[in-house]
Amino acid sequence: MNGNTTRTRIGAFGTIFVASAFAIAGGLPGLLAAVVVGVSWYALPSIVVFTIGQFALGALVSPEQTPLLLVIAEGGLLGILSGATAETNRSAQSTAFVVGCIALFAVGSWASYHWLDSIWRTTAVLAVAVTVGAYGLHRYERIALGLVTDTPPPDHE
Amino acid sequence: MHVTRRYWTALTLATLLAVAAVLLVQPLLVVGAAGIGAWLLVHQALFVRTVTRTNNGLSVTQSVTREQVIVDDEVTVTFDTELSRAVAGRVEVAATLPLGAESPSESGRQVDIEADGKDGGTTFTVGWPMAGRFEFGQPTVTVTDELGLFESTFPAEASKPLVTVIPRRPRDVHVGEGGEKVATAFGDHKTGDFGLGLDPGEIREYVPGDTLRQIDWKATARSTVPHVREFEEETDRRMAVLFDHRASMATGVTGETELEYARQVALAFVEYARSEREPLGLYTIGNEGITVRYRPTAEAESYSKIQTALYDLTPMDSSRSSSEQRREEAAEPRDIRRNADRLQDDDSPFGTNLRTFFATAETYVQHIADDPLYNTVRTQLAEIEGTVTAVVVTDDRNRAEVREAVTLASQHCGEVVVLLAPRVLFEQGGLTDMEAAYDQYTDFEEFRRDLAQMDGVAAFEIAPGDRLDALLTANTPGRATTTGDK
Repeated sequence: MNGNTTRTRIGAFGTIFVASAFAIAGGLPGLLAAVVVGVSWYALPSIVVFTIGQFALGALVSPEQTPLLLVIAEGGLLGILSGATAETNRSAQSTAFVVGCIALFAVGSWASYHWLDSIWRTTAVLAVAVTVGAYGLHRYERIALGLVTDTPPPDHE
Repeated sequence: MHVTRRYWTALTLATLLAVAAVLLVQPLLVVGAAGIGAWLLVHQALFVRTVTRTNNGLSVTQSVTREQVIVDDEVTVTFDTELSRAVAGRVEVAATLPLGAESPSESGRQVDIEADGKDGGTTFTVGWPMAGRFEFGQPTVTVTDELGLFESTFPAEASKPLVTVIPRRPRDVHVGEGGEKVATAFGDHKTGDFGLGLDPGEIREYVPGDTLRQIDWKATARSTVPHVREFEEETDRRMAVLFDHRASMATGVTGETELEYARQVALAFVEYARSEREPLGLYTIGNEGITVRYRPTAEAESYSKIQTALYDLTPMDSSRSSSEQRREEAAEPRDIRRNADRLQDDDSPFGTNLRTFFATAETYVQHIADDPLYNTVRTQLAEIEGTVTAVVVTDDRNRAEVREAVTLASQHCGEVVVLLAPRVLFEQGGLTDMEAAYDQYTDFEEFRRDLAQMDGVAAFEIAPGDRLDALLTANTPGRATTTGDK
């Protein structure tokens, strides 16, 4: 899918962080998960590696018991996900913007989970936020390009 | 903005994480879903910025080498694009051609500006298979982000060249003799003679020789000097146009064939006859004989019918009848006589055997008798009463038959006007070798003069004036003798 963006330097560092966190936190299953993430990073697109890593993280790391390892692993996954952006956009500002926004969303969703105390509500809020944001950007682009006119649609009687 | 398959895949993974988070009651998976969702939103925001920058900073120039062309000609289009600043992402700018224009594949008229690039350009040719006025459309810009998640297409502001495509048709129709234009070919013939008749003409002073009955007594009484009144001579002159539209008249590029030029001249005769209210007839000649026949008449609608018939004429297909093929192979009598003279003194077995074949011209006569043009003259002109002006419109392909047909026409008619299209001036590539073309034209001119020397016959050439000028100019002493085909 996204084959050209998987193996970046930032992604490599991220993979090392994730694999280390898994190995430390999960024992033998953690080692196995570390290998899977490493191989995935080599062979699969970054977005897929991120998803696999997120599932593995949920299975291996308990947030209450090992918050430091959780932060390291999530940081590594963030590196995997944003590595391609850093390589393609080349601008440090763009990369910082991408990383910052992802981190903000992740922290925000975690905070809303604790505030709402409900996973499905948190998921619903997230879905609404992404949908509204995507549609808003789409409309903004149409207007910026002058492709939206004030002409009312013709009457259909 | 359109999202790609990659976008949907990423969104599916985010959804998978979210659903798994709800089912497994695992809040970390919601964080993952939020990460992917944020990743998509951020890249969408970056893409929107790229698109707006591209839209604001892109300038496109499209220009054409010629704004007026003839059907089937080509125009070279120069297409240049420039961004005021480089953008992240791939930008493709494609020229939008008018409907009806033909060009190579779309990639040939498209400029790609890679990430960090600022400009690009291309040239391509556009064909115009139909006539009309065509305006280029606004170029289309397609922007794709570097991760391949989004794509946006929008029109760009640019100059929109207007191309006028004019149909191929006879231009600069030349009717003349030996390269010199004449104006009297279009149906003018001697009229207005005074003599016996019913329509009163002018009054003039008496001169010795005038008869007594011509004296106008009223005018004489008024002026006290003898005056005579003249009457316009009555004429029953009729014009018959014999128009050849056999396959050979298709020679030339589409719209500028021998037939097209001949048609223009024939239509001029129709206009002349209409203005003079002179009875006009039309006989069109195909491969096997007459295809349209209108006997000479001065009825108003007959001129329109003849005009329509002329407009409807197309060259016959090139499948030649056997008789036509035989005629082309037949030599003219003067050639036969010349060869026979040569063989008179040849006593070798070769000469003796060949003399037999030149002893009679029966074969030649048979060939000519089969000719549609000759047959039309023989059967149709003889039926027309009164003084007939025959107008024969054809080309110089079958000279023997033209000569015989004109000879016969001159016997039947008071006047014969022959309008000939020289093939060399119509053939594609005919002027590639100017010297050879000039030789052919000289040969044609000799043939035309032969015809013009007959009693009551006027022979003219019909040709594209520009090509004839090019031929004659190139062969004028002191000028280049070989130039390209115009």
